[in-house]
Amino acid sequence: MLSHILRRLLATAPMLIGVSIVSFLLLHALPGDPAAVLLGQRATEENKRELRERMGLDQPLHVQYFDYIGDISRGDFGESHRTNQPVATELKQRVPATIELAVAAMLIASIVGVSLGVLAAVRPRSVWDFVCLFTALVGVSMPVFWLGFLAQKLFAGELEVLPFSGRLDFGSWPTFVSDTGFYTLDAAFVYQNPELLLDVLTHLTLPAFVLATVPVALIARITRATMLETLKQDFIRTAKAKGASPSAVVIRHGLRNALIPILTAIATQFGYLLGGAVLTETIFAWQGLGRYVIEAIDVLDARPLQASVLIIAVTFILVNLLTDLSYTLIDPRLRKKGA
Amino acid sequence: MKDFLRFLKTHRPAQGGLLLIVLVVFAAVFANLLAPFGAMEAVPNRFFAPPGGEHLLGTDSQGRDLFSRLLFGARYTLLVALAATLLSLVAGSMVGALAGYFGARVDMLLMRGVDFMMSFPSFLLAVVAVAILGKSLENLIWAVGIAGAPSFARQVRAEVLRIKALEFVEAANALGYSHLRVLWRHVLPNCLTPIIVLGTLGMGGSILSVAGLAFLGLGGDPFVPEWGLMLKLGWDQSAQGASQVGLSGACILVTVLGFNLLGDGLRDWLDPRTRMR
Repeated sequence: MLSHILRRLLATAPMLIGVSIVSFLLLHALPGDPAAVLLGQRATEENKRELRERMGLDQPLHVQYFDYIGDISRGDFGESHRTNQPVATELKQRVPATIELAVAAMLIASIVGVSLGVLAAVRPRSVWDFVCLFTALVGVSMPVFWLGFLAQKLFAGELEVLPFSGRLDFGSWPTFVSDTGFYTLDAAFVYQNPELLLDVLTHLTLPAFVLATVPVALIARITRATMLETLKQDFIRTAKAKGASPSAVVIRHGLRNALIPILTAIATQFGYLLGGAVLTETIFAWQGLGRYVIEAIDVLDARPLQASVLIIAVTFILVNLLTDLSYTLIDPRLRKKGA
Repeated sequence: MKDFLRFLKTHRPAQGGLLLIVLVVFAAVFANLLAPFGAMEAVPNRFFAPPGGEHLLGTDSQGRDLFSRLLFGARYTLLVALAATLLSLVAGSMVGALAGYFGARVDMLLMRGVDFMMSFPSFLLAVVAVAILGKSLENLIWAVGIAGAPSFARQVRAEVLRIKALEFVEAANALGYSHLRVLWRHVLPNCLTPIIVLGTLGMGGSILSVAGLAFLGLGGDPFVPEWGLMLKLGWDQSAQGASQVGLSGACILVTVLGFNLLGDGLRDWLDPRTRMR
């Protein structure tokens, strides 16, 4: 088992290096000369050359790359030329915003998806089975930004039960400052104000449900398929024969054995959420990492783009690594073989 | 083919999918006959007209007939998605086939590249590609096409590995045919069915990705009647553009639904385990 873990860790290293190279090259790959973009149209050649020197852009590429890595390891992601703020400072609010949204969406998707899938598998051809298949199909075919728009119209526009967009109604809470960037945590533990927390949660509800659409569909589908397969196995019949209660059969004997493909689906979806959150964040004016990427692209702001791409890709790789390693914990068979 | 028609008769979801696709393709092909107005034809002083009368679904901010634009939109949307999917399919299949057929170092090198591309969420990959290439509908094709290629590569590689081990490939090699000929004439034709399934499902994915990128404002010219761009245009006009958002989104959903239904059906048909039932 140890060798398996080591091998997986080693295989991750070149990936991380590759990702860092790609994010480094983005500075040069974006259209236009970085110095010219920064200085605007009226810059003289002299000014541009000076700035290039100051930014180290006159150095050979590999020297620039190692400088870049050095900066990053010190937590320095450069400065955004749009806001003139250090990227690291902006990320401290952006990253938690996206994590909060993605975790909420993932919770919803896992609970709804797994329950739907299990219900459908336990009672094939029932109403639940139909609901599960329908959700699985429509969920993956849905343009989420359109769904978000409709949800906004209905729940915020017509019914007026949920807010339109944003993370908080700052008009009602003018003094709210989030140090961690996680509004839910700050509202619950720092301010300890239930009304504030409620406001944060109602703002989170619509975006989280919309973002959960695609993951719900895929998780429900995989859960249904693996559970159907598992419930046909001999050990399920044995468990039933031994008199285990129906719920124990389904959950302890069935779900546990079906867990690996389900967990893979959940983890893959988490990676998808990091990329897919861009659309949801746009609709609900959610100031997260996804919006940050688009705002940076709009004005060819290289530093924020580099940092966001790096963070998203590294998280994606690490999530996949953790999923892989967690198999050994769930499935004792993998543990023994040392495979 | 006959086999497929027999399957189609029993598979309701696939029938539905095919029907939806035929409808959209029909609208796309005959858009200029079906549409009462041109896609860019603006009626002066008739902005945001309500549905009914001369304008079946009303008009947009420029006084253009929405129904007509949606019909032409089918053409643009399908062509863009088709081009992107074909790009993924051709590039991915080439990489997958070479990796699977030659194995060893070629395989290692190519598949490492594929794994590496898969270490980015594919939508982010497409977003970054558009950022580098520049915002335009053509570049969306490249971006979505490239981002979609790795999954084709993996599938085709697996298929080629399976077929390479079969006797007729050995026979072709024994006859002294060149590797390229064996690959092109003997191996690849036998991989065609899974490629078609993946391509059908890929169409749905491409339509969604293109529309999503267009919605993010990465699609270039906002007046092209592509559904994603139309949705974005309506979205930017908030309340007045609501019907445009609603309608173009519904068109996207229906079309993607069609491809997914048909793709799932094809997969069932090809998978011998489900075929038995």
